[in-house]
Amino acid sequence: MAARDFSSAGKTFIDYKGQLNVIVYSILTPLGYQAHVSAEALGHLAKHSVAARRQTDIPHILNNPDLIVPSYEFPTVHLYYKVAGKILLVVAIHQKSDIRFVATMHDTPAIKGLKEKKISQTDFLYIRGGFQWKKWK
Amino acid sequence: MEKMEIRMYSSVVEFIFSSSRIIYGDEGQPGLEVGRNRKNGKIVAFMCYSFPHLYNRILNGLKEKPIPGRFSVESVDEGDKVTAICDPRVKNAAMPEIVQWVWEKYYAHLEESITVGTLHA
Repeated sequence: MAARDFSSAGKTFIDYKGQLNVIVYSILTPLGYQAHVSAEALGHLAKHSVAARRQTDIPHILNNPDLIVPSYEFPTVHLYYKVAGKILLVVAIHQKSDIRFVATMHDTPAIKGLKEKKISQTDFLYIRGGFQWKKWK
Repeated sequence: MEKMEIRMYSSVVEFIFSSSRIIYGDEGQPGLEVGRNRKNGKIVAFMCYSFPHLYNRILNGLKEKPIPGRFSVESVDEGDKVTAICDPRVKNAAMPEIVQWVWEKYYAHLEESITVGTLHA
């Protein structure tokens, strides 16, 4: 499991809905920024059957993703993909000011926008060596 | 008519009308991921990664590619609280009416405060 950084634990930020979030831990991602995981985000994820079961995978997905792409509809949202058997797990990272934080997590059958050619390989922000991204259209 | 629960965290908004195990994917509905029941493939939810930024895109998308059916919003889960909804605007409502209601009730005032802050900066 990727090391969780607790140096920002207890610090707060305001999310897009104006809600105060308390950071539980942070993860250094391959893009060089820290993604914060808040108690409020974990509370949101706990209500989803997949995300609740997979919460402990968040550090690993953020630290060792197979692919990172921006959402073509709102590119400041970064989508971190990791293969989990026959599906992909995706963690969405929001940015507000200079803060990046986990917004949601779910499973998905394909990389967003790839089949419809809304994104292409040139849009990839990070790809793990050997990852067969064409299989996930 | 389907009963709907709305869940929000930050700018993520989910419109859920069955609590089954959901798998979300991009099926070309502008601004919205489509959530399907993992077992039977039935559509049971929609989700937006960044609702305040994609609100207009969602509404325009619903004109081009309408989501059929009518919905009754029963509750809104904002993380720190769950509110039962009695507002007749979102009872037996079409999807665009619900999207507009969410915008007006939960996000429009935040955009105004951002605008005011910018003007005073």
